Amino acid sequence: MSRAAYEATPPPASARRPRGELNPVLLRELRARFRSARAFSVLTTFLLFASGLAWAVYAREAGGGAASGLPGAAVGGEIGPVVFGAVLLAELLTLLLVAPGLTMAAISGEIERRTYELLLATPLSGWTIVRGKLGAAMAYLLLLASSVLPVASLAFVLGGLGPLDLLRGQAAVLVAGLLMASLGLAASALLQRTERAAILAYLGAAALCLGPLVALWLIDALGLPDPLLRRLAVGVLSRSTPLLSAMVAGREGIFGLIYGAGALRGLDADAGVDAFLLQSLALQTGLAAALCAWAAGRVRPSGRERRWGIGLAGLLLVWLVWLLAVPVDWRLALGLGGG
Amino acid sequence: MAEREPAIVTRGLARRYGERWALAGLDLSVPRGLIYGLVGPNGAGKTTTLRLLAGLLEPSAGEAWILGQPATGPRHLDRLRQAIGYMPDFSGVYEDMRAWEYLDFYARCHGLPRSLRRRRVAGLLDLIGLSDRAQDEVGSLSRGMQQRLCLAHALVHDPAILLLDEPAAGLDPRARRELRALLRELRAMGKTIVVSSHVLSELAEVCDQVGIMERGRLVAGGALDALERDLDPERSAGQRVLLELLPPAEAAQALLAGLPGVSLEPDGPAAPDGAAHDPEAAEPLRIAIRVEGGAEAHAAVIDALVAAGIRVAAYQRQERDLERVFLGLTRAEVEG
Repeated sequence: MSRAAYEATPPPASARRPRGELNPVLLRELRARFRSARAFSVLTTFLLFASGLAWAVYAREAGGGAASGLPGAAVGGEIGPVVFGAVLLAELLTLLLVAPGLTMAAISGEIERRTYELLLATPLSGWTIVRGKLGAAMAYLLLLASSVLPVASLAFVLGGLGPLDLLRGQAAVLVAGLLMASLGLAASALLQRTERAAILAYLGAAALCLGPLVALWLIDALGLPDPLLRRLAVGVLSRSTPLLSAMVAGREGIFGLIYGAGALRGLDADAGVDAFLLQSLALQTGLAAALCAWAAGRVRPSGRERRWGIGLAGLLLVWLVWLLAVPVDWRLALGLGGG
Repeated sequence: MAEREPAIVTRGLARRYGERWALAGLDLSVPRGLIYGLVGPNGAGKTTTLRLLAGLLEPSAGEAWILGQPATGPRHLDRLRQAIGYMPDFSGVYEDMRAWEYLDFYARCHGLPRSLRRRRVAGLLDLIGLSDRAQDEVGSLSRGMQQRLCLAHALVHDPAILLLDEPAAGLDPRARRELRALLRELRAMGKTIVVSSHVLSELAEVCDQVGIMERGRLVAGGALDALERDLDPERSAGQRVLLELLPPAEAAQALLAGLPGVSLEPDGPAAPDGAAHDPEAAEPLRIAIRVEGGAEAHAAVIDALVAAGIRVAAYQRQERDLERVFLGLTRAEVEG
């Protein structure tokens, strides 16, 4: 052993990360993720699934589905949106399944691996650690989303779609992925076991996706006596689920096959689609940010006790702000008994 | 020897978990540039002490100063993390990284610029003897190598103080020896090292001073010789020696007792079943003595035995007798 080389290097002037340097946690996570065979097997499986679904829908629609009078064929009489919807659905389902799995071990895995304290003994803030973990997950989701673009682009050849549709669709599924990844991260920061965090993350994901739909159905079926309250509740609920935002972004498309044609009646106008989509994506991004802020507060031991309340308050604030900003024409837009 | 400036000072440092006090008012002073051993049974508060000093826990009461600066409270965390390198108990590693990447990761975490980072990582790999394994995945390294790598991670920002919690746990004898050599090397580089262990012999070999902990308190602290004297004021200073003398050696005890600076140890090894040594037996006589003075004094003892015609089969100088000190002090604490 020699200490000459070690002694020859002066100490750093500051613990701050030098400008232009990548977040070290992000770099570590990217290295680990993209070296694993699982990353590429998931990618391959996803591409096969998306292509297979797109091909099956195309074959069905082109081979007489339109004549059968099934709901999917009712969308403008063109196959393009239906095929695009199929790709978007495959992408959405994959991201909903994969995203919590990418982050559910983010913090609990460090604890189980016994590297958590080593990380905490560095000057990294909780927020830097969370950003690095989330950034690596989003990089992988972005890879998945971009890998399917050639398949989605085939829908253009079939007509009835524009580049803006592609942009809307990608934005909707990526924000859904962001929300699910943030949920996994928060579950991992809350529970110190990955198995428990996985259960919580997937239950939370299911609740976020399906809960608002069930609540909307109940509101529609039972009715709320106060019209303002009803308007606010439906406005928030309809914009909080990634399923509806993806459905809107997909111009109904294959989602129409699932939910029934005309489920989005009233959203035919582009302005209505864009407004609903923007509001949905903003709400979901806000929720994701609140979850991440809360997780960052949990990461640092000194912040565990203190920042719990702050994080929760932030989450409620986002919801409150959104409640106040709900547009008035939401009910018509969703076709939930407007007028 | 001049009094060294303290690197770490704590006053009434305490930490409570629920109703239980893991640390109940610790007053500690660790001089700069020494290896300080924290000894104590499981649950004595060693790990809590190190975690508090590393800024990973906030104290329930009390204060700490690192290199003369206050070290408790969130305001001081940045400075604290620059000054301290921490290696936790049972620390893990990122097995999917290469050895150089592992150190590079922590160097990045500490904000080292690229040019310095490369040199620092290379230097550390050299220091821990893993230069030739730099490209290997951490998971493929032996437990001892991983432990050394973990120690190197704590050095990546060149801290003045190292806090090592049970660094030798789970290591084989060879790896322990390498770790001890590394600690001595780091001391020679001017680092202050606080190392906790319940394997007393390990600390005795490498520590300049020890602090003995029991039930969240420091029972005793200081140099081992001084602690031994404190424990038994009747006992003279000096080094304990185990002797094996071949028969006939009946005259040995009287001879040794008469030598200046030499005293017989009452708790030395006895014959089997506590029986008196049989002069007719073929087995060697084993006795323990205490010798005051340096090499000359030890040489004089051997010379005297040889001159008296006594054949010396073994002359084993015991560096430290930490276990006896520890048991004596903790027993006194429990009884008290």
